[in-house]
Amino acid sequence: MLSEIKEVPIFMWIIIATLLLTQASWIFYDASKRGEKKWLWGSFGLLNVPSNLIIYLIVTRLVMKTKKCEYCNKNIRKESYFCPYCGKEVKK
Amino acid sequence: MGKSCENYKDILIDIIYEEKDFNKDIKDHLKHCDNCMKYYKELKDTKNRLNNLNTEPPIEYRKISKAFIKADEIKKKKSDIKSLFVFMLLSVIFLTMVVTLAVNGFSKEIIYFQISTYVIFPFILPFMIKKRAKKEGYDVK
Repeated sequence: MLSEIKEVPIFMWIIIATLLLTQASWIFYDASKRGEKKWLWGSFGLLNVPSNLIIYLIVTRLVMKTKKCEYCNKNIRKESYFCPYCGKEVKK
Repeated sequence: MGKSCENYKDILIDIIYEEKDFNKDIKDHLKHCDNCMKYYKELKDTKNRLNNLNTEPPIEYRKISKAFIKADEIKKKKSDIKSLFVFMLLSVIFLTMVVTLAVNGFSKEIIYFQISTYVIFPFILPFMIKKRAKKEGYDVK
């Protein structure tokens, strides 16, 4: 089976490269919108498809980014307009 | 031929607007002409009343603040799109090199690398989640 690897046609490699480019570009853009490390995640997305995309989605959606409320100093979601603990309006 | 009261009234308007200064001629005329003196006092009074009126429109600070935030968001979006294009260009160069290597006899090595990433990355996922949760301040046991 390993000797058959040499027989992979060039168009298959081009398809895989296109999929990797699309995946990595989407991850890069999504990471930049969310304030994540876009260059790191974008490069991660270039390594394989689609498992790295699944890993990116799990990590960034499961553990949401936080910020500190300037009034009560508790950790709140980064996109929050109001603190769920003290109720004050926070800077975005 | 001396100037008429109409001429003096025009000059008085210029004086009120601070475009001309008082001169001896105007001062002498005002001393002798009650109409022009009355006219000058009315102009001065009107000017003082207008200066005391608060004619500034109320400033809506919230709207201004929102406009600044929107401007920052637009600026960030443009910067994100710019970096995306740079990333895509670098990715195309990188992938072209990989495909060239694959076609020139290195396909086995590239596929071994791919298989190893499929196997290894799912195992490091729990550590990535734990590290990120700790960094964001969640309670991690």
